[in-house]
Amino acid sequence: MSGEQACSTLDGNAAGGLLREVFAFDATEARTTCSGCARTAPMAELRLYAIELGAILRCPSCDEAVVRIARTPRGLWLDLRGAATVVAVSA
Amino acid sequence: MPAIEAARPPAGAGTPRLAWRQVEVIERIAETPRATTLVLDVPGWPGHLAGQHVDIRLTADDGYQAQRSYSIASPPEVPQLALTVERLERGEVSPWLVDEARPGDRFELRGPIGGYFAWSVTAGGPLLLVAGGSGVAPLMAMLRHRAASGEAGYAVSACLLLSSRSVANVIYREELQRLGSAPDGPKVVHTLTRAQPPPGWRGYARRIDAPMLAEVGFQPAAAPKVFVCGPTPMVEAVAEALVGLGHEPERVKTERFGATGGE
Repeated sequence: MSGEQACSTLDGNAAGGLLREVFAFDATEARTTCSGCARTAPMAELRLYAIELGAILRCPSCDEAVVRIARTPRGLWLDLRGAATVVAVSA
Repeated sequence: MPAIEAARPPAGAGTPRLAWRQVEVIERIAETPRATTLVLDVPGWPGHLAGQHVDIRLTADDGYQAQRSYSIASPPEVPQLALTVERLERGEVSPWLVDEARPGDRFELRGPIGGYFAWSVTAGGPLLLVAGGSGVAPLMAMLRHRAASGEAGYAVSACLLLSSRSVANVIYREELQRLGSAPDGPKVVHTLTRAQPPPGWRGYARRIDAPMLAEVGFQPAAAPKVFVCGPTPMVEAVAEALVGLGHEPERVKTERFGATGGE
């Protein structure tokens, strides 16, 4: 899990621990709409690229980078430009 | 949405939501030539749902750290955590866990993680579980949870379709046989993908496909809760076949695993 891979073999489930550092809710269940193609899917179903220094979660349909998280010396960096909406599922 | 940068929370601003904790190996069980179950003592474990996973972090003497996710194979009813790990060649973490870790060894773990790929008897069924190789681990937690739940568990019809390379590579083979032959036990069906089946083999001998899923699993009209876990190509093929058979995509939950960056 070092560096960004040309081909993802993991999905958003495996980023659950990192997502738990960022969001106050369990984001693997959160329904996320891709700003590229408007496909909506739980974050768990997005394709995961890289994890050691953060994560990029890409849309399985159009490959848009929906969620980007980076670990920086100052803290966690979150970029949600690829997500039109993120809807937390109420328990 | 714009990018935001979150500063570190001030010291003493409450405990982290997901803390790393030291765990100790208390037992190792050789499952197959490539897979080992590690039973862990996890002080203060808050409990988990069947299907959830943990992050494991190993630290080398020089400070180098490697982190991976592994599914929990034990049910919520058992206090010790069981992780079943398959050795990935050229991996950084799995060879140590599979071949080297011994009772008394310690490492860091955080969890439980993930509410998406999780099931409890209170969610009901029917339950259709489809696994490739060590992808059976989180689904085994579900079957063990079902078996530990008495009447409420038996009330849930369950079926497991497990794809393995060969008979020798079937993880939990004896326990699955025991569960499957018990009254009110789950239906357990095997398929082998790389080896000729032995004489008298009653399972399949090909990759999972739509006709197999139609024969084995619940019909879409039964609206089963479906969990698919395995290597990415297998998961993609199974999920696509299930939706093609008429299962609602929202009821087909998937979890992919495999090599990333040498693991």
